[in-house]
Amino acid sequence: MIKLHPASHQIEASFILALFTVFAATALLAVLIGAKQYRLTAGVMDANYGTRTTASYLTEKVRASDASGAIRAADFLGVPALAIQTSEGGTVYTTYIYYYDNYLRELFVADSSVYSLESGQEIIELSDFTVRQLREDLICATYTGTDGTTRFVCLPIHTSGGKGDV
Amino acid sequence: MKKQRHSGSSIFLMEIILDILIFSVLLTVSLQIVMKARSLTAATTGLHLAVTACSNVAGCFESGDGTMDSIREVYSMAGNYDGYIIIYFDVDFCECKKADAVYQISVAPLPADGSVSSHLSEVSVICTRDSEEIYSLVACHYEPFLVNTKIGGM
Repeated sequence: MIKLHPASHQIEASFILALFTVFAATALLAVLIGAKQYRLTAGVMDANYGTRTTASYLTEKVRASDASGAIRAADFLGVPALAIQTSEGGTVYTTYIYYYDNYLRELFVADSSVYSLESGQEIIELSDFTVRQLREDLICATYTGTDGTTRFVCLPIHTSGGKGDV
Repeated sequence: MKKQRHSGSSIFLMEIILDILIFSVLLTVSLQIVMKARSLTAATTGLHLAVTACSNVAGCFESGDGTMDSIREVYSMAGNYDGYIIIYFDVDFCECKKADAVYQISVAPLPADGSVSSHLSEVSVICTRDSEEIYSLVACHYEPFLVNTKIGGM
């Protein structure tokens, strides 16, 4: 024998079901919003890290080696590079900072040695990197991060020029 | 007297309504936190880029000849306003025209003081967005004294 429920009970059950659906949908939405925000924040932090690390690395390299005529923008085996010369024990060494195979690389070599673009130590992953000598005392490096944003950093060289007499 | 009895579904309904109320309050709070996180992320990125841009402008000034021309050599679209300059940047901190500007960096000379004033010049570099300061620094340019090698027959 089939027992018929009153109409009010059916409406009540439907209402509960509808409320539960709304509850579940809102909970899912909240989780999705949180996840999206987390992804955004993580992405921005990653991009900031790449931008800041590259800029700081280049700036500190130039500041640490700021000697007269030691730093210049150069062509290194066909790619633009920042060249920093040092002299130790009568031998001239050059540190090349350049971009090759998706990485900013650093290579410290004696001028007489044999090397290739693959020889450089990987520093940070980038999409592009160029160096220009704007003035005798100013080098400008432009780099593109893995997120596609292009930034530039000015690298002032303090050991040049001067005016007046003592 | 007729005693009214609550059905099981009625109690379940009340429970769900109560759940939804609590959930709504928590959702409101968490959404506010998410919104704050979003605005903080945007502000952090802006500050981060402002620091780099101000440092670049300061670097141009410090390495040049101590005049505003050393900055204008690099930032060709900078506006010249009677002694100080303003450089305009878009939302990605690329240099742009005034009409497209979101951020701007103003560079103004600071009054010289001391005995080495002819060799030392200072400028304030201030980055703003909607007239609100984001970051500022002071850049100094020092032209070193050169020893005259002709003195004493050297």
